[in-house]
Amino acid sequence: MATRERRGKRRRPDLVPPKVERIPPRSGLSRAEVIANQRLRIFEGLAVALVHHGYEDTKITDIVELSGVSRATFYERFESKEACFAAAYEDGVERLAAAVEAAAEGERGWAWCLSVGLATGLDFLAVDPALAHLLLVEALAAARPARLEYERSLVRLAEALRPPAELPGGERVPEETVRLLAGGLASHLSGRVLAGEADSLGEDHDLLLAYLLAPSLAANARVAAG
Amino acid sequence: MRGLPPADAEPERFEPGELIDLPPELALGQLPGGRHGLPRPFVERHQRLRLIAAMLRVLPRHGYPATTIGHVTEEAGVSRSAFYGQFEGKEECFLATYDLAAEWLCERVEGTVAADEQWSSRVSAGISLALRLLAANPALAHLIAVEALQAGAAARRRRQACITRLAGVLRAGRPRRPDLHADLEELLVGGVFAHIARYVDAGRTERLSDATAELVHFLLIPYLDPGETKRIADQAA
Repeated sequence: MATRERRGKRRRPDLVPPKVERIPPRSGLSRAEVIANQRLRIFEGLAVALVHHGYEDTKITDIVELSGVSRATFYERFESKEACFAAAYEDGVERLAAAVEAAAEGERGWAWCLSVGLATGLDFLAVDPALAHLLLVEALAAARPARLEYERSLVRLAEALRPPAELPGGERVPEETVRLLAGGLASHLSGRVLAGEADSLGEDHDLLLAYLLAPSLAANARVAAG
Repeated sequence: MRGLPPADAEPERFEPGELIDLPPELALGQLPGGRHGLPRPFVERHQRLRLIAAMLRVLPRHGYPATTIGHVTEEAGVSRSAFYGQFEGKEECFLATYDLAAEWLCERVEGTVAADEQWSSRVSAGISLALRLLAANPALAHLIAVEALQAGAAARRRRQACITRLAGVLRAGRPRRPDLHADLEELLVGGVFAHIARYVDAGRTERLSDATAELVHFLLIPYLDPGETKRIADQAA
């Protein structure tokens, strides 16, 4: 396929293009692998564009330029900016969840799982501030379906944060409380990302752990007090 | 609880158009045309507040991204050139609206809280009042909790500043315990904001007061004995 000639100047020539490498022609890779690579490049291009332009002002042109794919390829993969955002959001959440679950798996004790999972999640976001921005800031600025998707991830986060019933005494932290906890956690992270501090999120581990454990500790204290 | 008005009292309305001392017959309407003899700064302030009031009313209809300056000027009954005399564009008008609304809400919460002696009853009174005010002013709730996330980076920073300010209210006089982190309150208030956004998004803004007990519980549980927390939360409901 002939590369399309790019017209005009890039809106932001200073922006660093994503780090996913292009697959050279005749690489011997399967069609599926090429498509997966294109999707990743588009997602990264989108994330970088969002940091600089915000959701509303990000154009397909920005995404295409930063991803190094042709406009035609973009439209083969996604029908619109909204669809591209939804796919990128889902991909980011799945990768974050997979990293956290893999790290917490095999750890003994709920609180310890929480601590390890939290540390992993914070690191995941800290090494990719553009993705952190997409997941925590732009998801709320995007169109309504994206916001509902964001709400669904908060519910999922809340489920992960809910202590198991078999904690000492079997006292269960109410579902509403863990949803509130998840909202506070997301709001805190988004505030740090907005302030340009995504790369130092790891420093918040102890604060966040104490915050997330507070209701469970209280529930246990109630049991201990009889 | 001294700071808390009786639960059946009508909650105050946020009406930016009434924030200026006007004769009542003029308060919400247009100023008389022609040579009314009103001083210039007065007229300008009046226009500004009418534009802000209009922005507040049109936002829930269209959402920030689809709201146009035309929507605002038409709603306000103010000319486009008068709009540009006040604001550079839509975003600046939005930010002015947010500032006025956040100030109005925070002032009221701070006022209620100042009247109570006990920290835990202050928290309970503050959150109860905030929820009642937001339920009675759905456009305000929409602006503060939802629209501010969609109106660009400056608006999101304003929202964050509002969280920080209310976190300061929660922090003042909290139980002294060495294990309590200095920034815990921002997290708690952030959780409350997310909860309010959920109500607004679900079209349940008018029912926000239903969340009083669970929010009081959420705000107090890191600090107090669970039995005490439950007692205060139940009382607030």
